Amino acid sequence: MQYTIMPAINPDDSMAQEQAALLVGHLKVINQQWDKAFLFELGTLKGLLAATEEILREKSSQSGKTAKALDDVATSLAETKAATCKTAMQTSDFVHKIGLAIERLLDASEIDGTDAFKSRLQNIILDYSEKQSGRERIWNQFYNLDPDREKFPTIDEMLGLV
Amino acid sequence: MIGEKLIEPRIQHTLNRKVVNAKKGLYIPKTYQDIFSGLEKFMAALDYSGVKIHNLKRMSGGASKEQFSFELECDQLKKSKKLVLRMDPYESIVETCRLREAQLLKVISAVVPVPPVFAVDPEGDYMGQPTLITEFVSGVTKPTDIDSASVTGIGTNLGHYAELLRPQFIDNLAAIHSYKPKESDDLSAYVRPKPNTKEAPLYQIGWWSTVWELDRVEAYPMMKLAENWLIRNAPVCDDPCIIHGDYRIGNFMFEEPSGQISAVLDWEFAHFGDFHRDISWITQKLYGSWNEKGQFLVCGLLPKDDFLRQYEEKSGRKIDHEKIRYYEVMCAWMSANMCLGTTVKIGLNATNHQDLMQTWLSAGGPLFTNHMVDLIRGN
Repeated sequence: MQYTIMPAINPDDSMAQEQAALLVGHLKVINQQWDKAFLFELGTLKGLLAATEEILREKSSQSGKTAKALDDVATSLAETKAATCKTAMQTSDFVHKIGLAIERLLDASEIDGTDAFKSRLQNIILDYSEKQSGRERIWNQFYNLDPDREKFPTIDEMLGLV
Repeated sequence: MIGEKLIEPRIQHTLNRKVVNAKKGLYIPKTYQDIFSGLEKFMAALDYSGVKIHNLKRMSGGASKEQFSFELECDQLKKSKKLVLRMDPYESIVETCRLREAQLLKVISAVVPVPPVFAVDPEGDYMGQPTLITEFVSGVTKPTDIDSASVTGIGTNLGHYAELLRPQFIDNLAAIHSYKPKESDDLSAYVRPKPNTKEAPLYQIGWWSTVWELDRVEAYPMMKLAENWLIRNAPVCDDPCIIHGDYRIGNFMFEEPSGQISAVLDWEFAHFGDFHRDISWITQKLYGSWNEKGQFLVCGLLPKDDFLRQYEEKSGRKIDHEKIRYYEVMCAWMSANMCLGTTVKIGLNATNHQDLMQTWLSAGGPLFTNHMVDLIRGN
């Protein structure tokens, strides 16, 4: 791309030049990430499973729609724990499934969750999201969008590879 | 979404169209011949005769629209006019209405410099896709003499222009918020939230929760938590005013070397709402930068406290810091929505010719979810 295709692009075609530069940028990021993607997704899933188990500790205190939604979360958790994730995509699919169940729980709890449960649920999700978004920011640092990227550890450091 | 959803009819129409367009799959950019043919039909429909199109050229810039410049010669014009055509692909980073944009540009030109509207094809009846044509405005969105690898304004270094642009940036913002539409202003594509109600924020939540439902690729509990928080904590808006919606670095043009702002661009997020919404958008981390003293500069122009103080002085409005916090959550939520949902979906569906740009921007998502956590915690 850099030395054969891009020099051949008409210099007047700024859109094509811009898209080619973006493609090179994407390839450079993929180069940093590709063989660590499974490990990264596994870390995401582990964090979410821990948060989900914490949420389910409050299960017996709820009734109505909230209790039903908690049952669905428990089912999703059990299915995930019983499964074997061998690829980044498989792992990501389970993150999505549990995440959807938690989203439905959030809506249900607005209807009939106790105040104490709602507060606890919010804190658990905020804690998980803080850790996870921090991981994702480190993971995405090579896109050069994050104004704090100079302060981040490396991806290897985040994943415990060094 | 919990509770009753409020959504402007024209926004709902645009999102309904998006659902149809998303199924069309791969979007191939328009060729010059496509544009020529469309313009011939369009200009004929507008009763222009003797039409000649010259110097048609694709433009770069803009995160997701197709953009072309051209010169129009016709019997009705004394001299040829240089114009800019913006056209929607099947899906964009944000799905918006060219009719709303055209209406607002015509109205707000009374108080701030904007590209004059030439013509609008809101449903793409002539051009194939919704299209807005404006007059060409000279200027740049970032200095040409500073090396800055920025994307749609993000990461732009303004250098010595910051001092020249700063007062104009704030003056224009105050002018937008102060504008009171006249009876004769056609803003029929807009809904004006009732004053002294929560309609202003609730209309925005209705819009963006619908977008998340349509575009979400992976579940993010934080997005649902934030949505519910925004509904529960929606503040009353005393006096809804015109909101630009995407007022920031990268969305205004200025002349070199004078530093005079020649146009405020990209009004597609515009709506009637709470002025705190614009303030909170401007102060987002993604659009700012750090100076050599380690200070964070809002849009690369000035520290946040200075920006808020100067806005109050220029506008005569009093900033409510609790509302700033509320709208900061909303802005982070909207931005996360686009980055974590729409851009990824566009990449998967290839429904935009700038899918490489869209997916690049998706990397900004965690910055916004991180920010939402801090804000909701009150940090």
